[in-house]
Amino acid sequence: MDTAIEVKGLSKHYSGFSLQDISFCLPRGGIMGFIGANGAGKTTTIKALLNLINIDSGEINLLGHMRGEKEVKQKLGVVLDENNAYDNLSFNQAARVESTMRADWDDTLWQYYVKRFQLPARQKVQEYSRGMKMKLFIALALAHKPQLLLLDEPTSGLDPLMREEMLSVFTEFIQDKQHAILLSSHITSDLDKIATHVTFIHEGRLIFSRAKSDIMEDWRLTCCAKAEFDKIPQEFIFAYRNSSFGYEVLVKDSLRLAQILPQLAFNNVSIEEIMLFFVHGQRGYE
Amino acid sequence: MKSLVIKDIFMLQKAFKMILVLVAFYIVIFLLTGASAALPMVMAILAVTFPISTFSYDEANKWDRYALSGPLVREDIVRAKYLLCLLLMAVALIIGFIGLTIMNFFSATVDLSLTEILLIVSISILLGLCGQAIILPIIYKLGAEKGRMFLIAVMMIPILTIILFNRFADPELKQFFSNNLHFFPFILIILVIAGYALSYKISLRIYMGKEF
Repeated sequence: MDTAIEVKGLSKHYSGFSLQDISFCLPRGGIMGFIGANGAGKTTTIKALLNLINIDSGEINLLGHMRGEKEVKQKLGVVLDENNAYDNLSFNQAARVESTMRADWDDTLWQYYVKRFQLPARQKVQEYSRGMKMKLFIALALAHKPQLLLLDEPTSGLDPLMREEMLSVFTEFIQDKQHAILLSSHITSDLDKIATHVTFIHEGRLIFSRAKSDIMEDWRLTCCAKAEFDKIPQEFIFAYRNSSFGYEVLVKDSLRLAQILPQLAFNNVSIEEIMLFFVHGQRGYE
Repeated sequence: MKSLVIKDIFMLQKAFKMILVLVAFYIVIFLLTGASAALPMVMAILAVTFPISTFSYDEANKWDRYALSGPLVREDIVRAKYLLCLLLMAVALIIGFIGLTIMNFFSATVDLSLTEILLIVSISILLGLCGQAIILPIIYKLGAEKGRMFLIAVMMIPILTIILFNRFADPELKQFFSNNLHFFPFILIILVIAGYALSYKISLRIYMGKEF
């Protein structure tokens, strides 16, 4: 019961796109940053977790239950990329529908988030800006006391102040060690701040899924000339870029590499750099 | 499931107001012209078209994806739509019956007995239920917009049947039907119950295979 999300060998084929053999695991108490370029398969994976699509193979467990079970669905807080579900309803009507739908709806908690996110109760939901709708749906997701939050691009459309506020909300949520969050985001700086785990997928394939602390400890960026680059054993190279200034190399297991090639200088690397290196650079793992 | 019905009723609130205006307009026309007693049929047709509007809203708002991400399962979604249809038809029945009774009371030209009023109302409602039972699986399969096209075809079935029957049926057969008209609702009731059950099963099967 310590695992919040367990995905094993998830595959789903469409014509033109396939999600292939995706596996990852998120313990309770963790925040997983789910990253990848547009069309990498992030939303498809989240849809598979939510049983919104049939899968061709694989196994998905959420909070110790099979996906789609009513018992686990009650414990999920979900915010998807498009938040138009209540466009034809007023703010109060939306709250009324949610409170009837959710067994664990907490009206005091709802009012708390309405106030905290400064949601305009008199305005029609349809008239909300994109960011405002996002806040509304995050408030709705939190107000029924979920254990696991599944959030698809939850900070997009929010101004920097509100984004910061949301990150605090997520951090507070995770203070209960039974809770967990899966958060897909393009804004990787958000993940640098709060993620405990990172899963990176590209073109439907899993590139890595690891604890962020491991990545930050092991992975480093180094700049060197061709002669030094040629000395770096292939197993250490995740990806590299070759420019007129020399080689920029993203290396794995940098501590061990530093013992082999002490002349190399290493810099810390951000999640965004890892993504960019992989997508735009030349890949060392192939 | 209750939440889904509430959501649809909220969405239809504007349309409900429109009905009140429509009924008032209809009564005025009736009082001025003494026109036929079609109010229950109009109500029944509205009770078939209103749920289709909720499907259109749901599609535009990606509602099903949201609801299924929440605590609801696919059976809840389909069951709630059928329940909404039945509720709307119950409202149509009440408005149709009360409206027709009032109009009958004030009319100088039309004088229907209570049995005749009940017959008109029950046949209208039962035909409406048949319409719902036919149209729901079509919407689940093809979506609301294409479903709307089919609705026109579905509505034409009873009208064409009656027209063709009047024109081509044997006079003895016609006589037999008009003598036994009061049996018609009972036959319809059996058809509606069986049709509704079958319709629900088909809709559920279609919906279970859908992806969002």
